[in-house]
Amino acid sequence: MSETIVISPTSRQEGHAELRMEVDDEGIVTKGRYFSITPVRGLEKMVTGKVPETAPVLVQRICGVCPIPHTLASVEAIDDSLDIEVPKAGRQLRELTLAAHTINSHAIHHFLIAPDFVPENLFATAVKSVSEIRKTVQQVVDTVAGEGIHPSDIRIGGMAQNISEVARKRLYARLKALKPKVDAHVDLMVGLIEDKDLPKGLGVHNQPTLATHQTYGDRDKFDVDRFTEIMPESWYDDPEVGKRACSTIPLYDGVNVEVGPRARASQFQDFKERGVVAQHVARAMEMKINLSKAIDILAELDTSAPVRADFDVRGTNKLGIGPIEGPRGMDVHMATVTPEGKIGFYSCLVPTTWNIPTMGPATEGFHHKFGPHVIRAYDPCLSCATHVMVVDDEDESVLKNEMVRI
Amino acid sequence: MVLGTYKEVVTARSTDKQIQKIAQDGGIVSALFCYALDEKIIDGAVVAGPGEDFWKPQPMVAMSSDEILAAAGTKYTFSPNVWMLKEAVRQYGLEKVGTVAIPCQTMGIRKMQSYPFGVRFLADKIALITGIFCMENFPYESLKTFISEKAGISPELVEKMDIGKGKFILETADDVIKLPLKETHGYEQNGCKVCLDYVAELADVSTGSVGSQDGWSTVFTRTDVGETLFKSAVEAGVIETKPVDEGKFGMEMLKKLSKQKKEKAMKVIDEKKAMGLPIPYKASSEKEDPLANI
Amino acid sequence: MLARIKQFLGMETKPKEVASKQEVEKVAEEEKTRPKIGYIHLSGCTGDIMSLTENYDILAELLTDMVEVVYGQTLVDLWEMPEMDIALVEGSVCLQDEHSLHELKEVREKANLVVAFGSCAATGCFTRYSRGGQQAQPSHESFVPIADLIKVDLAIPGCPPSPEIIAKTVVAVINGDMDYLQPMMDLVGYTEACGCDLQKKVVNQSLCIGCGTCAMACQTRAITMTNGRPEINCDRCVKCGICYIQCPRSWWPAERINKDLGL
Ligand SMILES: Cc1cc2nc3c(=O)[nH]c(=O)nc-3n(C[C@H](O)[C@H](O)[C@H](O)COP(=O)(O)OP(=O)(O)OC[C@H]3O[C@@H](n4cnc5c(N)ncnc54)[C@H](O)[C@@H]3O)c2cc1C
Ligand code: SF4
Ligand code: SF4
Ligand code: SF4
Ligand code: SF4
Repeated sequence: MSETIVISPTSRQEGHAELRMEVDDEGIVTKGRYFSITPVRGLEKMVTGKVPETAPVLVQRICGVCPIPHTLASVEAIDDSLDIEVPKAGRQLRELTLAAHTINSHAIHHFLIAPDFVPENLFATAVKSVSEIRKTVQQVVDTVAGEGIHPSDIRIGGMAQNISEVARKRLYARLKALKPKVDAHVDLMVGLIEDKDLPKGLGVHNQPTLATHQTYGDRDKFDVDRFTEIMPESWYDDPEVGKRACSTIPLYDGVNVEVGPRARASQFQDFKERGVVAQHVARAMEMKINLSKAIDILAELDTSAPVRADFDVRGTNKLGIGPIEGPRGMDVHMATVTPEGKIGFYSCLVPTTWNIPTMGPATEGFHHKFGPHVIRAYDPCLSCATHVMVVDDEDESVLKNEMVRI
Repeated sequence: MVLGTYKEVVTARSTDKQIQKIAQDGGIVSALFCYALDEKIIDGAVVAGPGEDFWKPQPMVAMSSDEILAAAGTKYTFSPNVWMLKEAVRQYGLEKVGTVAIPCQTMGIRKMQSYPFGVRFLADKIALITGIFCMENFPYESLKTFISEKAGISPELVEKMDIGKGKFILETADDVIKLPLKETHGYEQNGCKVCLDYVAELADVSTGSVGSQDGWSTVFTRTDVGETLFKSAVEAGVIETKPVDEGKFGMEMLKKLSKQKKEKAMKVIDEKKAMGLPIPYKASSEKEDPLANI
Repeated sequence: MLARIKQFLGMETKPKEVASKQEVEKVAEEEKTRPKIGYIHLSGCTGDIMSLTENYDILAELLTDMVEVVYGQTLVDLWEMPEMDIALVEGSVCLQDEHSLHELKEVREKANLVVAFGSCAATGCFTRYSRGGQQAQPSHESFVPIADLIKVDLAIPGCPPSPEIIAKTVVAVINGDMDYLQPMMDLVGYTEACGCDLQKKVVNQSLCIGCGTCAMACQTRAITMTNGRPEINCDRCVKCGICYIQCPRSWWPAERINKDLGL
């Protein structure tokens, strides 16, 4: 008897993502398909025809979990289209914002996976350190980027303004004081994750990784010509999935890839591990890397230096590329600005979209009960409490019914 | 209740000679901010600093006594100080912000503190609101008319402006020109016509010239924060006080002006309501005590 | 606990007499200690729930001791939508998405109090600019505030609402503090928000006094002040409504402010 396992919050209520796994008699996944079914608000079409300034304001609202990467990718794409050279201090403030945000986002992920890895007696400690870390790094985002959730001050050409010397010194001192706490937190989490006896090789797949930079993003490392995008209808071999899926499938060199902390570590840190545990470890290590980077920037920052370039908003239709390494992976926005000074074309390849076609197959070869672990290791942005259903393929009756967190 | 709820009212002035010289009245605002900065009760204050044009203020974040003093003195036109509060806690990184506010600005801040719908991590960082009395405010072009047309001088010659004893007073290096207030009527901004608050009833401390002699200010302490700060500034010798004059040119005058302002505004509010125009305040008929705060 | 949190939030410590609106009353009376709360995510960005979690110092108490979280992504493992005292609905609703429409109706049936949580749910916010035509679902075109389709009890606009207002509202619901919640009830009807409201409803009504509160409050920095009046940069406005809501001349909670200040 073959079964399909559907992990989905959607069939009854929440519209987000669905994981469908076909399993054999032992419950081993033979085919995994993961796809998003969130309604499409159509941000790309929403900003087309508007002035460039509007784009970062709107597209950052794609996601309140990773708004910083979206904002940065947007301004980077437009900077590129308009050939703007961002002043050094402006670039530093952008990098600082992203570093702080990445720490915050990874800390939230630890909060979400805590039930999987953290034993009862350490739970309170772990949650408390997550809160403390978040509070401190979000203060950096609020100060530098104007607002902690939807940043107002990351602008085309740089930043709206520099921070004051008082702010620089305060943030520097706070982050310095945070360092031992982040170190302890990371060591705790890595220890717990490695101790958890997940099956060896879980989540390992053979797809390539894609990353442009360890902490920020580098447009020279993203080759548009090697990128293609196809519709879900032609990707999923299940026509029903193809029709319902709400996101397109981005490919690099014609294949699906993995983006995110492990991809970055393997590209820039000579990190060889693969699979679920490796993804968690790479993510935790990034908290340390980003904290050191944030501290370094604050030590160097010249608070009297200009942070925004002058520019002419009339463009040349040049395709601007803005790749930003968000917490969940590379987020690429592409934009053109017309000679009239309007957005001519806009496209967003968000981290989870890159990973979606890889996540499903990554569940293959192991028991379906590990499926959610695999998905969670990617920290998908459309994370949600998800329903796992084991469906009898013949009469579509529900054989098993349980909830998991993703 | 015509002067709002307060703990104490006194006549006071700064003991600092320099502040006395440049301040509008008793220098209470400047003295309190300088003291609060020294004592680390605040780490900065939003004040109405000098702008590009003469007498057109620009809100600014002051983090030193020098900067506080550079903004001393009354400018009778808009300085949207509340606007700068966000920047003070964000880019400036301040955590205990003071601000000087005319009554309507105090209202914007207090409403935000009670209902911070879209304003994150700011409400609890407002450490001190020094309110100043206000009868009305003028658009910049009105001010220019008073100076250039009515007084016939150029703005850069004006060293001080003041309202008192029924006159709008313009001081230059060697002259004092007094315009009767009826000459300025009709030039004030319209929003002031429904304003019910003369003495910054919602500030921590409020101060103004009316009720005290020249060079001195009338000061109300209203909240615990305001009372504690004011008392310690007096104890530290930064501010000297004497009992407020209860008589005709003291409290009586203050009450009279406040009552007049409220009564006039209630009339306009009632008229607007009758016309079906929007107005956030209650009509007189809906209020228990029409003179009670707002 | 409640007293500690309220003190933290700068709210009064005495519970308030309940005045009107039976639903809130019922929640407050029946579940004096821990109302059942659910989080429903429609077409929103998750920023509103992220904002809720930024109540760092009181988050654990808020989520465990004060309310019982019975439903919601990332928070609880439950599939069937249960009966709830309070449902926080984030996001506007896509008229072309059957699931969303169905879910919204179900929320109304299952929840005692439906809260439009964040500006997308309350005013439509930036999703008002949606016009469809995008892959992979080009037909998804219309996104409207939830009050267009169901009866909503309270609105907490903001893009996102501040951590503080979220905590204050939850505390007020638990207390049945109708006086505090009145603006949230009134704002349910404010579904057509825009920065232009300042011009139309304040400046044009000769009510503006140039205080600058709107410019301070705008979360996208769409407002600057020109000659003492708000200048709206429509290119940055997301139609969240916050500028008008925070303006001291739109509505004026006098009694509440006096009480909060102890005056
Ligand atoms: C528009 C207006 C109308 C006033 N009407 C009256 C009145 O009718 N009766 C009365 O007794 N007092 C009135 N005052 C207050 C009075 O003029 C003095 O400002 C007050 O007494 C404080 O004096 P001080 O010597 O203590 O302050 P100072 O030490 O001189 O400091 C004054 C402070 O006020 C700030 N300030 C100046 N202009 C503005 C502005 N436009 N908006 C906001 N802040 C500003 C300055 O930045 C400075 O920090 C009015 C003030 C203003 C701004
Ligand atoms: S009279 Fe009232 S509204 Fe007008 S400026 Fe003064 S405080 Fe503001
Ligand atoms: S109101 Fe703002 S924060 Fe809330 S869902 Fe909409 S875009 Fe996100
Ligand atoms: S908040 Fe209201 S009164 Fe104040 S400046 Fe803005 S529109 Fe005018
Ligand atoms: S101007 Fe700002 S606060 Fe007002 S609706 Fe637009 S985005 Fe919101």
